[in-house]
Amino acid sequence: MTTPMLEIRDLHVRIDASGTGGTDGEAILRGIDLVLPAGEVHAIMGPNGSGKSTLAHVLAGKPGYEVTKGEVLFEGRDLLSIAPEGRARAGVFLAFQYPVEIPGVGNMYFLKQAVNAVRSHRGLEELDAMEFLSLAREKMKLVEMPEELAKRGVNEGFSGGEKKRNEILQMALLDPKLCLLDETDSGLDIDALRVIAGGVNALRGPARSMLLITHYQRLLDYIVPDHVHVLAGGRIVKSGGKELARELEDKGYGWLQAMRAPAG
Amino acid sequence: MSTFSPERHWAEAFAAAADVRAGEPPWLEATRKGALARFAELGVPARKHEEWKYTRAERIANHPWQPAAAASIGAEALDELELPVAAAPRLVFVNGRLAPDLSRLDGLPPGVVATNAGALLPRDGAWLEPRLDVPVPFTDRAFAALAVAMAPDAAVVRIPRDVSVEATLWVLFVSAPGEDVAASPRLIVEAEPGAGLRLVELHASLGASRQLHNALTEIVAGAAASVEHLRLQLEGAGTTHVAHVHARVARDARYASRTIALGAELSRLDLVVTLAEEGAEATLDGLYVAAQTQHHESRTCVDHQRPHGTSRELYKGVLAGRARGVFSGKVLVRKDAQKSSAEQKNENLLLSRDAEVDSKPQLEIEADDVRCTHGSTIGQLDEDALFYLRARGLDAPAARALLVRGFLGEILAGVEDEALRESLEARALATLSRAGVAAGGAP
Ligand SMILES: Nc1ncnc2c1ncn2[C@@H]1O[C@H](COP(=O)(O)OP(=O)(O)OP(=O)(O)O)[C@@H](O)[C@H]1O
Ligand SMILES: [Mg+2]
Repeated sequence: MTTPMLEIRDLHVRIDASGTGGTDGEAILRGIDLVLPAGEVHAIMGPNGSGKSTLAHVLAGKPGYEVTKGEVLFEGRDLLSIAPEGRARAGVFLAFQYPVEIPGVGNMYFLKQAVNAVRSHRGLEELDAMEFLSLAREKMKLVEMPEELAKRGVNEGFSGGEKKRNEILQMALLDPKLCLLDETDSGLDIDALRVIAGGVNALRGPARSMLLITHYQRLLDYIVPDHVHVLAGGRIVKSGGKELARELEDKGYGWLQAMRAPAG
Repeated sequence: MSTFSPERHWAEAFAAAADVRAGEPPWLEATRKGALARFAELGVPARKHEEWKYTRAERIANHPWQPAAAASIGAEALDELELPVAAAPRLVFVNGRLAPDLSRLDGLPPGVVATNAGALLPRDGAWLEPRLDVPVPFTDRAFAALAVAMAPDAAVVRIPRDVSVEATLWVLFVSAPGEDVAASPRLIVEAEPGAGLRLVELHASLGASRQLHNALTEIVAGAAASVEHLRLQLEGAGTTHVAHVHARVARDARYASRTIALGAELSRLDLVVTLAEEGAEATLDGLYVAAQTQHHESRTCVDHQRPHGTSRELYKGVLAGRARGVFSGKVLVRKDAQKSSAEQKNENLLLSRDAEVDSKPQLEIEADDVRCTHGSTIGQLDEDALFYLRARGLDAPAARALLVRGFLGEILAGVEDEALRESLEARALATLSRAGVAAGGAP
């Protein structure tokens, strides 16, 4: 059997407040198991506060979480011991639910730094200003991003939908292997959703896997997943095919929470 | 207690420097003596003095500084500054005295005066006389009085009525190496009504000798004139830089001040902007970057004296290592200054646990129909922003440097000359990276 892109084994996570002087919070992820083969797209759905973003953050290496148990393998290698930038360079990409505004840092300059950091890690030559610009233009077309936005500071004054486009633009530029999309569809109007979904679909391929976190069936009409998982109370309580999403749309999450295994 | 008396020390130094003043008219000698007496009378401000609460004046004054002698430097010394001055019209002062061979003034419109006070004295003494005295807002400032007494000369820039100078004019105050030396660089600028001037005032030292630079600048923007004033404090690591800057802004005139303090071990800027007539407008932008044990104090005062004045102020500081920053910004709106609008902001970025900053906004509003806002922040680099950048492949030092650049950018963006802007940014980042923060990432 080939090595999966991502393998999560019995992952337990809690908030680590040691750096902030607070007390450690209770467990948020309570034993996640998930296998994402190369080339597949899996959707993760689940009620608010169930731990979806926490999972995405832990996979991307965000500080402030403590893994109390379990492991995560990325292409068979231990992911959790790698610094966030190392993960990004190795091909992990998180499209943030709430992209950060960084006024004063030019979006284009930032994107070029990021692309070149990733390229040099992969043994590719760094792009000069002209090469980068033409690559950026091409990818901006893909997500229909106006050039004017690229001239601003990173996400500075971007609308919710513009921020999401910028995330997918970054994804297209960085050419990752594992894409974690955290509610990329929320806040998008119908046309924007179609554009973004088109951009994401264009990036689908046998060497790339995606984890789509979403609340809405609508996104999955455009980006059809291979599997759907339901995360509730820090665990995956149900997995199924793409029809599971529709079932959730009809019935909500209540029936699943009822069948949740008692906490151990 | 040491028995050193700064007042006695400077009285002796003044007497000993009589030859420097040989040939000056009697009124100037009287002006200087008056200023020296004023210095003795005011004395070195004690710590309980509110204005000197954060920077110890004794630390500056209780030292046997010797007045800087005339010195000459080669043209290659200017290259050492690594600033884009090669093609700029410029006055270069070394140890407070004009260096004609390093200055170049071709290309300035006819009628523009850019020279030294010494050269003007014989023909324009009457114009100079009031301007060489202690500027009015500084009559109670001991160091400003001392500068008037001791400055061997002054740079003078005068733009005639309705003349706009296309090029940016540089006035460079450079000090030659020399231990325990005190220089008094002085600058007098007048833009007559309707005139336009862009000015860069630079203070730099060659080498890192222990020196005191006691600078004094007075600027007048006549009615409807426009003066853009970029003041660069890029002194060497051994320098104590004390500066008094006053700008008087007349009716419908505009004064744009941008002060950038990156150098010196200890520096203190006292900037007073007087909106003296109706419709005067001023912007005050400032940046102070300090690392290791550097200390920067920026004191600003915007004095709205007449109606319909507008001021906008943004001072930003980055402090690393064990550095200390102080911002004290006063906005004064007098009874007679109805319909004034004043905005003040101070933002500070602390890059280390041991860095410190004090931010003291002060509003004194005597008029009732005014619009005033002020705000002040002290913070660290945003953790979420850092993670965002790292999640895109930037390593932690590069991510930090990029965020610091973003913070500096707001003030540096106003420096129009791209080469200069990049040079200033590189210097600021170098200062910080020497302190072990924000390393890398610079282009
Ligand atoms: N830094 C933190 N400190 C304390 N609690 C936190 C922190 N971060 C997350 N939590 C809590 O962990 C739980 C899971 O949060 P998470 O953001 O992962 O949920 P989510 O499934 O993404 O929800 P949503 O659908 O609303 O985006 C929530 O109860 C949240 O309040
Ligand atoms: Mg979430």
